[in-house]
Amino acid sequence: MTSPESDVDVVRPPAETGVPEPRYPWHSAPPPVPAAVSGRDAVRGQRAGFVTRALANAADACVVLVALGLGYAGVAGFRFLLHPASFHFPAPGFPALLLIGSLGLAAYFTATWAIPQRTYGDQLMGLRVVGRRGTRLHWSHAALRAILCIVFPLGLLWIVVSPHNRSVQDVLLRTAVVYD
Amino acid sequence: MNQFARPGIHAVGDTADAAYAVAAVSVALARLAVETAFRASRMAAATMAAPSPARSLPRVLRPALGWGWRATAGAREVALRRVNALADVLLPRTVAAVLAKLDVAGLVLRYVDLNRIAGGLDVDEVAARLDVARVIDRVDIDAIAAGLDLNALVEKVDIARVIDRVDLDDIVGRVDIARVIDRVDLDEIVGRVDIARVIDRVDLDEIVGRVDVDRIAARLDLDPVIARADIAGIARYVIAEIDLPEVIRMSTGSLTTEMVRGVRDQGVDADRAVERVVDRLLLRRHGRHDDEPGHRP
Repeated sequence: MTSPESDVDVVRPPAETGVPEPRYPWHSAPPPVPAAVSGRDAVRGQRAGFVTRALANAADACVVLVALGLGYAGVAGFRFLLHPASFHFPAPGFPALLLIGSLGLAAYFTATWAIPQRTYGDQLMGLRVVGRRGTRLHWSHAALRAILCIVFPLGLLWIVVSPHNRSVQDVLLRTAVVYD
Repeated sequence: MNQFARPGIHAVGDTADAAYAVAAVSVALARLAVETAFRASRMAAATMAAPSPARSLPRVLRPALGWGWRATAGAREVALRRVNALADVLLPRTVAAVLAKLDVAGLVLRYVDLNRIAGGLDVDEVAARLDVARVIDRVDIDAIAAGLDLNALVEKVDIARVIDRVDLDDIVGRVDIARVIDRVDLDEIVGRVDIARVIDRVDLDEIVGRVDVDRIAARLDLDPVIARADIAGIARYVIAEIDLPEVIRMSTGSLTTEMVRGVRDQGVDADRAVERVVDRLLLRRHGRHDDEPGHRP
C-alpha cells in the first residue's frame, strides 16, 4: 500500500531557495523546447548554387585523388612484393595519369549518381542529382553526365549566369542538382 | 282451485282439461272393468271345467251359458284390445295433465318428511359411490368464473379485517426464503428492468459529490497497476505520435555533426550571395528558382 491519506494534501516543504513547491509541479512545467528548425527545409528541392556545387566537386576530386593515391600505393606495393630487389616506384606519364584519373572519376560519378543519387561531396554539402522530374538518373544517363563533366568541367560556371542554376551538363542532359 | 293450483289459467282451458281428465278417468275405469270381467270369465270357464262350482247352475242353462261364453269370446278379445289401446293413449296424457295442475314439489314439501328420509340415508355410502372426478369433469369452471363478478366480491371483502387476522410473522417464519430465491429467475427479472430509466432517475452528481476521491486514491496501491500496464507499448505509441525520427532528422540532418550542418547552411548562404550579386549585375528582377525539378509532389 501507499502512504496514508494524510500525504495527499501535504505540500512539500520549501526547497533551498525558500520558495514552496507547488502541489502539482508538472502543471507549471515549461513547454518543451521546439526542435531547431533548419534553414535546409526552406531550400530543400531547389537547384543548388555554384559555391555549394563547386565545394562538392572539390571534395569529390579529393576523394578521387585519395583513391588514385591508394591505388598507386597498392600497385607499387604489389610490384615491390613481386620484385623487391629491382623495385622502383612506377612513374606513369601524364596521358596515362590523365586517362586513369578520368576513368576513375567517371566510374565514381556514374556509380554514385545512379545508385545513391549523390557523391561523397554531394553528401557532404547536402546535394542530390536528379533527372527531369526529380527522379533517379538511369545508368546511361549518369554515365553520359559524368563524361560531360570530365570533358568540359568549365560547364559548371554556367550556373553563375543561369537563371535556373543550371550547368552546361544540366542544360544538355536535362538534369539538376538540388538541395537535399 | 286450491293453494297448489297454478295461477293465471283461463276458464276455458280449465274446462277442457277437466273434461279430458274425466274422459280419461272413465276410459281407465272401463279398462279396469273389462280387464276385471275378462279375468272373472276366465276364472268362470275354469270353474265350469271343474265340477264343483258349475253344479250350482241348472242343468238346462249350463249348455247355453257355455255356448254364449264361447260365442262372445272373440268380441271380448276385440273389446279388450281396443280399451287397452285407448288407455295407453289417454293415461299418460291424463297423468301429465293432472301433474301439470299440481305443484308436486310443494306437495312433497308439505306431506313428505324430508328430514326423516334424509336421516335414513347412508350419506357415507352415497359419497363412496359418487364419482367425484366425473362430476368435476362435467362442471364448466370457466363458465362459472366468467359469471362471477369478482370486483363486486372484492369490494364486499373487508381487506383490513382480513389482514388484521393474518399473522404475517408466523407466515414469514414458515417461508423457506432460500428455496424461494432459488426458484426466482433473477436474470429474467433484471432483463425486464429498464436500466436507462433507472439511471435517469439517479442523481449521479449527488452521489459522486459525496465520494471522497482523495481518500480512495490514497488507499490505492498503484504498483500492481503500473506492473500490469504496458509501459513499453505506451512509450512506443508516444514515440510514434511525436514522430521521433522526424525530430531527430530535423535536429541532426542526414549527417550527425553540427559542423556538417553548418557547412551546408553556409554553402546555401554563399550560393544565395553569389546569385544576388550576379542577378544584380545582370539586372534580373525576378531572381531564380521559378522552376524547381526537385520539389517532391
